[in-house]
Amino acid sequence: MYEFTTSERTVGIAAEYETKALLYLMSYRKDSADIDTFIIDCFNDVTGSDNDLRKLWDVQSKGDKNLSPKLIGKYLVTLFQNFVSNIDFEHYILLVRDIHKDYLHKEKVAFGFDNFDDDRQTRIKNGLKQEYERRNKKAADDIAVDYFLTKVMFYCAKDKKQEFVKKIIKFKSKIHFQDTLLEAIFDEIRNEQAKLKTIDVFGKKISDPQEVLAYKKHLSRTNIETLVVNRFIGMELFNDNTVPFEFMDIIRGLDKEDVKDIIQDCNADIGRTLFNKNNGYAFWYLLEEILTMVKKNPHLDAQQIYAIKPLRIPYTMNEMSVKYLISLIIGGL
Amino acid sequence: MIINKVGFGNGIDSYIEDRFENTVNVIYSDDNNKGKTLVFQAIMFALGNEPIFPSGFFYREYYYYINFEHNGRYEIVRKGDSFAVLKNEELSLFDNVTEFKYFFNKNIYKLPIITKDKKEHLVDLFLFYQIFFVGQDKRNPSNLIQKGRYNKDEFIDMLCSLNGYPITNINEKSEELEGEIKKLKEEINTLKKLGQFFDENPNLAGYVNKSKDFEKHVEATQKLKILNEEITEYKKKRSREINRKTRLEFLLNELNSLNRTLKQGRIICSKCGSDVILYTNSDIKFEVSNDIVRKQVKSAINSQIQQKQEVIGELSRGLNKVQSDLTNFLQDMPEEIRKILLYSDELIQNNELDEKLHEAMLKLEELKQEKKNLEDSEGKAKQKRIEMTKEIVSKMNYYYKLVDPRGQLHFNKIFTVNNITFSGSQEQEYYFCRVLALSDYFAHDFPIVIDSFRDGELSTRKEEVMIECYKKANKQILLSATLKEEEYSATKYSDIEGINAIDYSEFQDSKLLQEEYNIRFAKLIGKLGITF
Repeated sequence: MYEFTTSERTVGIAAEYETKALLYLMSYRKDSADIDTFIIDCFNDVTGSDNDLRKLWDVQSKGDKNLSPKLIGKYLVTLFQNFVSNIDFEHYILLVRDIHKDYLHKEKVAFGFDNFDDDRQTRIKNGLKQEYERRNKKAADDIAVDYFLTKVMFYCAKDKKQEFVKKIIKFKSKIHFQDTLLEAIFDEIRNEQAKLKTIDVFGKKISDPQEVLAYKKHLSRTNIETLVVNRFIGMELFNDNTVPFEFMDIIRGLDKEDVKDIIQDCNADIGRTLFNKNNGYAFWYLLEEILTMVKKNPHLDAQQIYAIKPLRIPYTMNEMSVKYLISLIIGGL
Repeated sequence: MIINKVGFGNGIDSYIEDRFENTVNVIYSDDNNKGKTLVFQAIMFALGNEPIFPSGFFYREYYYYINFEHNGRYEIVRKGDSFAVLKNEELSLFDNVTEFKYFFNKNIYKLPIITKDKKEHLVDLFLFYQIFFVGQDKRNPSNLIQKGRYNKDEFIDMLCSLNGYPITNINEKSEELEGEIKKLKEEINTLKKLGQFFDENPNLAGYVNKSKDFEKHVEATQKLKILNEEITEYKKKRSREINRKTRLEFLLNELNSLNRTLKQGRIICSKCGSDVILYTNSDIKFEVSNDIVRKQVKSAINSQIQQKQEVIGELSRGLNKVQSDLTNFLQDMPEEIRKILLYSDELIQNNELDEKLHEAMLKLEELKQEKKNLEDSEGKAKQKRIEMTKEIVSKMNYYYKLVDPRGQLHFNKIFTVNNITFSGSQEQEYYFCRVLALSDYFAHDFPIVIDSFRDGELSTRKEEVMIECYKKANKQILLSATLKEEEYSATKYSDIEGINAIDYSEFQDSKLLQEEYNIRFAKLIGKLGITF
């Protein structure tokens, strides 16, 4: 049994680092591609998992400016508690804003416990043990603590918000996002995280990680990728007379003046859809479907993607504008 | 901008010049008619300039290709007024010069904006290119090389804009605008009356066939038919553009109101009053768009609307031209036939009256708006304009002294005084000074392009000085020269260090375009999806 216990309300900088933790899992790690789901504020600030929730990446995040070794130890406690719990986690990560380079043998952004000098190692360990005792009213098992410390990893999230967003999806190099948009996307993800935190699971118990999905406190990789692609599409609308390369095939042979109308209509359809919050669900659904198909079938053109299966089309769009949307997506990725 | 390659062809014969380098390039030959001017005009035409091809060359039948570097590689194919542009594997198509201009402005180089007809106006490419391009023909130091719809003051306005300060050549007579408004109101009245007249005489067309001078009438009708078809074509195009513009305007309204409805209809949780409501049964977490995206969409639509407005203007000018052809033609007709023809024409166009009326009313609104804008702005930019001119002119004089230390010319203005007679090579020297002075002053990114740079029997000493100056300009320079027999030697330019000499002497007279280039040229334009 695993019982959900602590939950913290965070604002400002702390929330920012929780989002960075999520995006770190999503695209900064070598094994990032294996992480599909991000569970918010259940086991820890963010816990990443693979498709069937068999592998878990547990992250605690902290935005503090000057971390003392003792505080680092204190902040490790949630990770350690998970370590000794009934659920197996594959990775334990403490994501922080920065760690003073004097503490370290070698200055790096990602490293293990052994990169701290001996004196700091002792102080961190003590900090962890004290906090554990304070919370659990009993002493921590020394062997467990030592073993845990060989497994925990530290990551200094020095990149700016925009950098984190940029890494979510690799767009073609010609596509350039403004910083304000990147920041806005970051904040959207942060706000979503904050909303998910308001779902209360305190005291609830689970015996298998899969059960956590029932609480709807998670975001999927596709959710976030779709968000970025959606914003990208918005920025591309009515962009001069440029026709997505992919769309050329679809309009080949048509009268030039008709083509101009078609393109304007497609842009208008998508524009309307993006402004129509009442029907947002339909558009997200469509976008996720397209994105998934495009990623699975990188060699298919827009016509073929469209033909894979019947799509649910929002009432503000039609077949032509959906094909245009697919062309935009293929052209951007 | 560095030009790598230019080509033109029509499937029957073609030519490709790909020997340009990022240095001083001189295309020369021992005689005229070797095709140098064709190459220079092809470069400029492909870049969106107005055609100034030698007479006898049917430029409209050809495709023009250019390949240049400017923050990346661009390839452009132009035929008539249609353009295809390839950059980064992305193909853009335009079927008039205005659309291409907007693309150029957004992607290649930010074009200056001047006030024209009391409106902000993005300068046309052919005016802009006069900063660095001097063709062989139609030279005129006291005015623009090809005036079109601009005058030389507007050239200076453009320089001011390029220099970063706004231009107000508004010697502001809002009375003038007032007059226009009055005239327009009268026109609206006339249009209304005309509409009424046709409504009352639906059978007027029937009288046309009763004309006595039947034969002449048939002939005239034929010609009229052709002109009318052209007019219809223009009108069709224009009305489609107007239609698009209108729909974009509607769309903007619609988008605004979509947003508004939502604000009114926001859901609030009945328990706690929060407007943040989680739909736990849905996987969709994010808003369908955010503020930045919505702003961008709206501003992109606005810019499309403005662009359409200008395209409509361009089409209207084309239309006006054909219509004035029609008027001229009608004036040669006997009075009686003319009247009948005129009315029958108007009859056919009767259904356009409403549209005209609508346009006139829109225009009236615009004028009223402009008048208001005008009253708001005032020019202290005048002083700055004088300073800039002074500096450019002094650079021109500096170059002139280099070339001709004992010369009698002294420039006071960027353009010379009307009707001044230049002797010998003075005209050539003027352009040399102006092009270099502008290049120095603005440090612009464009190459200097001068077709026939020794026009007017430039002496060898002067030529040497000029070439030195061009070399010092430190940018790509494209020059052409025709050498006299006694001057010509195949190594005349290639012996000079830092010069890329391209000899055209071996080409046969008027035979620049050759069959052997066809396959290569077809490949070049094929890359942009174009086939003959």
